[in-house]
Amino acid sequence: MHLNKWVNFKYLYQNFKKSKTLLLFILVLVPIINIWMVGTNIISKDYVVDFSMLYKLSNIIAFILPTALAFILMGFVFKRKTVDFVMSKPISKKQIFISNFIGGFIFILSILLINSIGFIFLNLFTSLFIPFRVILDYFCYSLVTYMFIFIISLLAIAISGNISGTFVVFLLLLLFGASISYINYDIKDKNTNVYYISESESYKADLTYDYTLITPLNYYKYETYNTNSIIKTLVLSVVYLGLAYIIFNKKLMENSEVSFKNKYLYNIIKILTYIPICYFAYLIFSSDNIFLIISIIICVVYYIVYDLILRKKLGNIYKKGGEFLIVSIFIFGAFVLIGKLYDKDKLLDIPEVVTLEFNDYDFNYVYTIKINDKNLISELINDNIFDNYITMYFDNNYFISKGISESLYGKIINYADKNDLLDKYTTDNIIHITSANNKGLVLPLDNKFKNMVIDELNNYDSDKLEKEYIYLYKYEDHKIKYISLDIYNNLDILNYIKEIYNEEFLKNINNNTIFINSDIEYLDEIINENKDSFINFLEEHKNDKLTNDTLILYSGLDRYFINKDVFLLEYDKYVAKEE
Amino acid sequence: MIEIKNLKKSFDGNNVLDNLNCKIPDNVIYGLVGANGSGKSTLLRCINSIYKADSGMLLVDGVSCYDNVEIKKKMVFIPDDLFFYPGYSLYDTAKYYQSFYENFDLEFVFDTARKLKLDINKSINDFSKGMRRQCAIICALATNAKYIFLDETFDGIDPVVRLFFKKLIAKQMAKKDTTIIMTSHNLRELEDICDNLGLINSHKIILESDVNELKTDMLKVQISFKEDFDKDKFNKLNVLYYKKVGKVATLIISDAKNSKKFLEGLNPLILDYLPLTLEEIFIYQMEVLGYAFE
Repeated sequence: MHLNKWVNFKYLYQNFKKSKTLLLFILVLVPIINIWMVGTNIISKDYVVDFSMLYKLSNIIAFILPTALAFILMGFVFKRKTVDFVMSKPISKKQIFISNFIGGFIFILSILLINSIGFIFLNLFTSLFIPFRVILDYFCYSLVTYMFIFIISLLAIAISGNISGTFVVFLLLLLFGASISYINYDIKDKNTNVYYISESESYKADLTYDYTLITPLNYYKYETYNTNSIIKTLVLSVVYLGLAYIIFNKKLMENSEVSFKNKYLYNIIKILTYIPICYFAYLIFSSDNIFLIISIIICVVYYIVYDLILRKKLGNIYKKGGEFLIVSIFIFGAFVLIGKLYDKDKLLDIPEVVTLEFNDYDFNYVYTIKINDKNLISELINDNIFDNYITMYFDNNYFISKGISESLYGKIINYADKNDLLDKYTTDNIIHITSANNKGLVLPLDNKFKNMVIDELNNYDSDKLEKEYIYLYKYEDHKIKYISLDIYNNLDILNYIKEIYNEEFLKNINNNTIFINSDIEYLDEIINENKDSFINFLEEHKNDKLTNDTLILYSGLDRYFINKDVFLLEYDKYVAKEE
Repeated sequence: MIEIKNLKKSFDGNNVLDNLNCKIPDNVIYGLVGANGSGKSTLLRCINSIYKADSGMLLVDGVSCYDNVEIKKKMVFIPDDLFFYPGYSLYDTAKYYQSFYENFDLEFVFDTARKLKLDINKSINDFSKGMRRQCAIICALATNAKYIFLDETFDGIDPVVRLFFKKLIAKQMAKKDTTIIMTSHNLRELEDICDNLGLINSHKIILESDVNELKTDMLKVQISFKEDFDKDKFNKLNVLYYKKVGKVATLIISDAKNSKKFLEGLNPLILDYLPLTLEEIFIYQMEVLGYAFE
């Protein structure tokens, strides 16, 4: 099979060449902005970069870039002049479609590669730590997301003959995935028949991340990286791509500049777009009857404006009026009917078992446990004090995110402790350790250090004051997870850090102000009066081994670890001088 | 050869081409003439696979041409409404065409542009309407395609450059096996260059003929006799047009050879053979066919 039968690379080159300035601009600008935005973490000192940080800008770009790309490559179908120009050339529709699809894929791939290489450079040459797996996740997820939007754009272009029609189809295709995901449920007590919750119940969104942008976020709980989403998006992409290919091959180019030549298709799409407008009007009207007129105006205006934009004519006003009435009565009737059915039948009993997700604030760690104590579940549902935040999953997908009181939070911890449900934070996959008071201090993960940390972790007591601690990072479930570990009393670890710290970070001391930690705060005045002498003293002793109680002194961004007795001896000299 | 049988194409229920039949032989310049909106451009777009015919057969070299890349390689089409990519110069456009046509002659573009004093590096969209059309025709001719379709060929081009292109087209024709299909709503524009003419009207080609045959077969005569006379005097002839002013009648007659003998045998007082323009030939032929324009 000859590749040339399917792809015309010369055409593709020319198609890119005609918009080279714009494409080059996008190719350079998008990665620059993306890398710059991630780079700003240096300023905010969020040195360990998570997937969501890499994706900061992408939620906007994910819509604009692939759509713009599809319009650049395939936009010729919207004008008769350009249709004449392109379609008269020795190239088939099949070749045009496949070549442009491959072109779009290569372009998106290039942007993401440049982005990823930029992230790797940030990782290598700045104080940012971006694990390779995070970059890989970003790359895979973005590729799927961008390509999905690109394919939707191609499908919309194949279906419609002008820009406004394409835009409508594009939105419908996006909304299709999102709208099928939302179902509302009430929860009632089986015995008392009392309803507990009838708000903010949601359905776990595991279509694409893009959908979350066009859907009220409070209805959704989404994870930025969701493997289910990626698989579903891939499947949907393949289906849409196949459809786009078939429709484009059958597309009649003489219909360019016309939104939908087929009047049935035009009407179907019009009604589909009218449904969300009706729903919006229905919500307004449901809240108060005085909004009835506003609701009607919204519907009428939309019905007229749609025709004016897409057909550039209104048609017979009486016929349109009749059509409007029939369609509106049908849609609003359906809303009322669905509302009634749903009120009666779609109530959930308080379940026997729920999966509970909550944060352990000490560890900054999200726990997921199963609760089968029905009383506790009832309490969790009823308690609406917002001290702590939990998410309750009633089965695989339905969930409530809500607040609970501090005392109930304690109950959960006890319940989990008693039933040994809390997972231990293991050091198996630790990829990175930083010193908390200077996040840029990366501690090498050699075995010696790892063992020290593991020992400390095993003896960890969360009641200790966190005077000096380190962050342990790992990348699990496509998320950076970390705990903070207090090491103030662990002289081995302190000595280890000091050794690294002195070698790597105390080379360029040029700060004059000395701040001290809370234990010796009262000394502050004396030290600052004699700061040059003190810095010299600290410099002399920076390599001393820590043997007993330790003090940590700060000079600007840098720290000095020093034995408490050595320091106090020096300090006493100054106190004596003062006296 | 291009062979079209019972071609139909309609838009919104309105027939634009209705059972159109046409045969365009190889190696000729074929002029397609018709009024505005008669379907000339639609026909060219159907042949060039831009539009899909509703029904009928459209064969190029015996093969169906719709979306057929191999056939499209033999064809180049310059539409009436020209398009060039923004910022593209003649050189860029030529390179664009070159990427599609294996036999594209870039030297021809340079040479012709030089003769016409066209700056090949200047954006075509900054050119005048006539210059843009010159660029399009140059690119089309440089493709060396077997079939060249030029819609409203000389629209906007001044008479001097028009003559230049007519010579250039003739030269190209002499050089290689090329068939050029040109359309115009103005017959005079095509009469001195076309070998064959097709007249499109009422959604179909109503007249198709070799130009020389047409010209030699028809006769325009001014005639007068001593005695009074009327049209019946010429009953034996195939009179396409008759008009008498005073004692002098003007006739247009087909079957020129036999008609001359007959007229000379009537011993007229005045007998003048006048030259016929192609436009007149077409108008009278159409009247014969029942297509009279008001």
